[in-house]
Amino acid sequence: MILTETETKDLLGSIISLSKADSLVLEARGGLSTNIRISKNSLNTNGTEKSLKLTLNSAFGNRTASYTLNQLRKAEIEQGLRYCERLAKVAPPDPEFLPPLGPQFYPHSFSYAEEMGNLSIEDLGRMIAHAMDMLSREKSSGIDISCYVKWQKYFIAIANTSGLFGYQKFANLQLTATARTHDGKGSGWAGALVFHPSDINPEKLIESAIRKAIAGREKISLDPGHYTVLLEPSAAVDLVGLMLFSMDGRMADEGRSVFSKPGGGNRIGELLFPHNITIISDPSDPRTPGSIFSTEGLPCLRTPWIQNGVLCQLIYSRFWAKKQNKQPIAEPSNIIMSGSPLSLDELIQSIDKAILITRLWYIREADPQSLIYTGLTRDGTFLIEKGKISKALNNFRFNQSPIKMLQNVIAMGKPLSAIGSEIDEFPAVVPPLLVKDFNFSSASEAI
Amino acid sequence: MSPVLSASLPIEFWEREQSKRLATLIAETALHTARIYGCQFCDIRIVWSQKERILSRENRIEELGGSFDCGMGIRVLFDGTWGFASSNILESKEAEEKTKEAIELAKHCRKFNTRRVELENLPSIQGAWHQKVVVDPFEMPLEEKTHFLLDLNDKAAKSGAHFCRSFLLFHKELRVYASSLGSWIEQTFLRTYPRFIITVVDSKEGKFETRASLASPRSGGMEVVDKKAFLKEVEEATDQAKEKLHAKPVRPGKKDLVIHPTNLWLTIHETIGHSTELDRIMGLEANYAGTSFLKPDQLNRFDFASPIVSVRADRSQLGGLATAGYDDDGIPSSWADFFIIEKGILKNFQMSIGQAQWIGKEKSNGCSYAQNYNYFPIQRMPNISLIPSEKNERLEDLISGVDDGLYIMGDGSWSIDQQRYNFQFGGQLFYEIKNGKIGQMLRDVVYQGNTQSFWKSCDGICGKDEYQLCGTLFCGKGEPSQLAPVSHGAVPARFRNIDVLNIRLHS
Repeated sequence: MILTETETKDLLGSIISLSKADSLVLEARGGLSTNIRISKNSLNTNGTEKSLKLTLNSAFGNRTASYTLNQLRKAEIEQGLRYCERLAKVAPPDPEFLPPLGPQFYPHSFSYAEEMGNLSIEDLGRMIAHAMDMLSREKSSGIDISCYVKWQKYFIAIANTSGLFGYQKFANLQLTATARTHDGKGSGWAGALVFHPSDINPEKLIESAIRKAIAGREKISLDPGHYTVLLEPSAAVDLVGLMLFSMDGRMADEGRSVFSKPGGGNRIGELLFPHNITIISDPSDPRTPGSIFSTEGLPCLRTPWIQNGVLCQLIYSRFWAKKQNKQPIAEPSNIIMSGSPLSLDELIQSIDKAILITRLWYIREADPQSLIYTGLTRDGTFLIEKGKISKALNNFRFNQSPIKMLQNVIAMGKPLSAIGSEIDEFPAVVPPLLVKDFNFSSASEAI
Repeated sequence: MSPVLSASLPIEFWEREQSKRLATLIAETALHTARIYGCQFCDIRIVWSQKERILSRENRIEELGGSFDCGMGIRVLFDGTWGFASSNILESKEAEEKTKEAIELAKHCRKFNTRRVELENLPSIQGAWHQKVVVDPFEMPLEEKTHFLLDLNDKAAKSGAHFCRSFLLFHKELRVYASSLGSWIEQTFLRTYPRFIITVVDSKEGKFETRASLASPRSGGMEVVDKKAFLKEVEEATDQAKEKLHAKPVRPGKKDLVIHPTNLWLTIHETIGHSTELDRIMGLEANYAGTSFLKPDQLNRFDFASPIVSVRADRSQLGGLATAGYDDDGIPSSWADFFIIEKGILKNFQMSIGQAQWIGKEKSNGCSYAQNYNYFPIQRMPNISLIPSEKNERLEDLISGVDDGLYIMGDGSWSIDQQRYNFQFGGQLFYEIKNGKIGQMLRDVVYQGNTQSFWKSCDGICGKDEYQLCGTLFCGKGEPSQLAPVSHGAVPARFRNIDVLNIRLHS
């Protein structure tokens, strides 16, 4: 259920007036969503959802507790509030408690476009129809299409007894498609997360997945080892994003992060990467609108994390920032990585030999000390030779640190909106990355 | 002050008579609407869900939070096409609207449906099942739970841990299911998850190591948390984390592995649990979780594992996280008791309703689950466990048969490809085995393999005395992605000639 900014302000204001605690922090979330899932050329599942949820966080002195409920009639809210207050009263004192944040100025974000918010089931059906049309054209090629389209619009609001109020509306659409050849030898994938209906071209996406599946049928086997790879944005975004989420200042200062400095402290200010690596977050970027406030209510401002290769910032919670005598830094709410003007095709033309990777899969941290992740390539792994895609390859398992990966970037392409396997609902604009010495530890038989 | 009991909420919904009246009205409205509009089948799940999270680090409770949510999910089958709608508003008018919305969605999707849903003959059931609970954590004083966690952290600190995070998660649910076949099923669940994670730091060298508790979540109340054992384990864990800091890095190569149930459960889950899901095998998860290396015609023929390996699915297992009286298709748990692998041979796939006909079977086997009211039920695992050996071998018997190998305890990182061939697992503790004896601790170990060759290399399985039930609350699958709880029982088992990597050398 979507509440307007005024309705939300009234609701949260009325709850604040009922509070008996020393302080109260509130978060409200509500939304509508529809999804349609096609598997192997036919409907699999679908669904619509209407939701509304309220989280209360009451404090007496430095004793705090939270309570979340999704039944928001007056009696239920009041009962929830009283319960939360009872919990808070007996909670152990929190030595890290900070009083609620006062009013903040939040930036603008293009996270809600009316055209996106007004999409209907019929509109989603038309997108699926594109897939089916493509399928009928490709039937002679023996292709199975599976795709997932999810449209959602929702709002998030925060308020507290110190006068803070923030409200943001979102509307977006996610479409991912996998094409597999009937003989089980080829698989291709493409996907997008967009914030305006005009930014998606389902036909182009599905065509790309089909093209990769067909091209992937005749594979050659390549042994595992260290290779130069060209990560498409959907592959690059997972490793870049996972690194960004690990940039916690407290963890680094406490000596348990790849960003810790031996002997104490962190590595802010160090040149960790080549000069052409720049990664920022900025919710106001219209290409990739992010949240304007953090989980703590801090404004999500334009934040350079890595600028010209230098680690220039880590995430600092309000408490840890105060303790370290620093400014608090909100967690990133989007990923924007700089690249070059080269398109993916132009980049490929400049490569003598490399492995093209469409996407990565099942990525898990294998060693926190060196931030090594493991995972696999999937749905489109090809050999590039002399400026052209020459052959399809088997898939690989990788064991690779994103730190080392970014240190080994030798070229980049034009940044594009990207949706990964792990970073799949997080707004991101990332370039294709040409990386030397990428470590494949074994081959996978999976198609 | 009197103790605060979390059970003082959730409000009127837990009052059974009241909730039953409300549920009856809502369900009748939905089923009636579906009937009027000509649906072939309709079912509705109404779920009331209560959670408590107590997270701590060092000397503080980081988060003390409760939650209560409820809502309904209505599934209709209209002209061979599914439609699903959900809402958090539990009112009969909303049930009518949501049923119409589900029908509308089915109508819109009908043109994409080239594989009409054909349901088998399903039973009409009036049933109830309630998780047995000895100590309901929602009825315990809050202080008892917070003190337990702070004591754990304190013990860790006194033992030399630099950091200790610990938590308790509790999840209680009432699920009411009704279908157009006349079924009416009420079930209550309670799942409990305790955990700690120790970190020790060598700041001079810029190194750190962690060791997490080995216990898994279980169905049941606070009785599943052996507090004394946890307090003892946190001290051992701290010593082991310190030892890990200066342990010898593993030398990579082919080695024999003896794997403890606290690690092996996850290998069973990823390699056997997921590969034998019929929806994956048929390609229904191709765009997300992936397919499988198995084919429908391999039943009773595929040589999955060595002849000493048998793996059974069981939705009635005591303490199992997937244990229930009925699945989310309204199928009784007695249908979900079958061999997946028997003496090494593939014997069965996991199915939800509408799938049995794909492989020429008459009925499904009770493997349906939906994360909450707002999710379409899909095929999910029941508890899937390795059967202990009748020879009653002990752990030391398995170890004595290894010249050059590793003993692995606890789950670490995990990853497997989209067809369930190539996997890599880490762990918590690794010990060298030399000439039949456990030697020094090693670090940086991961093992890799191919599912079939790994299970065919199994040449030793312990007896039932060493059986342990492990599992997870967070197994993901489906679009939109859903989490499911599932347990896996296992005993220590031995595997020959497995690829062991040193993770820091292989990057």
